[in-house]
Amino acid sequence: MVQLYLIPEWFINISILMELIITLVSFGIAFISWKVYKISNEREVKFFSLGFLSIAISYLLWSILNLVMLTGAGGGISALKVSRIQTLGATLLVSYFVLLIIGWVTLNYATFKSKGLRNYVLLIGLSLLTVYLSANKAVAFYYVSIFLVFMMLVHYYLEYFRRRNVRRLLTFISFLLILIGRLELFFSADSYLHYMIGHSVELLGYGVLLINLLTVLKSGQEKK
Amino acid sequence: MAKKRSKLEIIRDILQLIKLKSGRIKPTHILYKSNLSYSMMSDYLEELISKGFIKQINLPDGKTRTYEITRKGDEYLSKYKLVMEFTDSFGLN
Repeated sequence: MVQLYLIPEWFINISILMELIITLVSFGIAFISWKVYKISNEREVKFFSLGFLSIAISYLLWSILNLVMLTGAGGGISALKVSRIQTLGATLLVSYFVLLIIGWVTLNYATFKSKGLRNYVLLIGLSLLTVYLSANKAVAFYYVSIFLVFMMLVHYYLEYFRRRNVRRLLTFISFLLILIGRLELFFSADSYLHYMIGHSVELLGYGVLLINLLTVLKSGQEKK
Repeated sequence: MAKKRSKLEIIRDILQLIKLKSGRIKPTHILYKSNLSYSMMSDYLEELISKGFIKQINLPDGKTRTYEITRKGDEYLSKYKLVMEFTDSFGLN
């Protein structure tokens, strides 16, 4: 039996709300990115949009998973345990894993200079196989997702130091927060505190990303 | 020394050239004004046609071709600042 995470029962509704907010933020980013893609026809922007779309759907599935599958573990704590997951829960969980990984791989691919689609398929295949073939899929999932977010952070670190401006710094900070959130969630199987902190920090990261995007939109629409 | 232009800047410059010539321009004129080599200019023109930003018009003499900006190309020019700021902020350029 594998325990994915622990949540205090009073935090469950807050957690679901947070997941829904991240879903909306990610959909918003995907939508705006798609509009920019329709103007520019730039491949990288298309993949950036698709990456966030995949992440949005994964968070939506996670919120539904929490809604239907959390069981009381005693002492006011609920747990998501893999062995107890019925068919619906298993489908939701697998879909959440797959879509989140595809989302982060897609975002990474959007920043690559190489345009080969084979690279994309290779990355997705390797990432998903790593989780599928692992004995402890939950741990493998966290490792893979953390690594993918870390690679995005490296990219934005290099971008910021290549040319420093406030927007690039904000993008870097948002991915740093998302990485910290992911790291905290990794430890949430042992302590509900990590779940609460991880979720909150992740939400903050997506919020900073959205604020950055809105300032870009506002600035981009100003007449010269 | 002048800063190296990004791909989006070069696309903007070519589209502006075409627009300045009342929407129709010959390749040699683009070559002189765009500061690109012939092969780079050809690659960019191909890309602009595939993106739908310009279209190639073959004149009745059968030898001369010109390029005309499309509505999509016009939209790119009008929203260029947004595209640049977006791709710059999110490290996509």
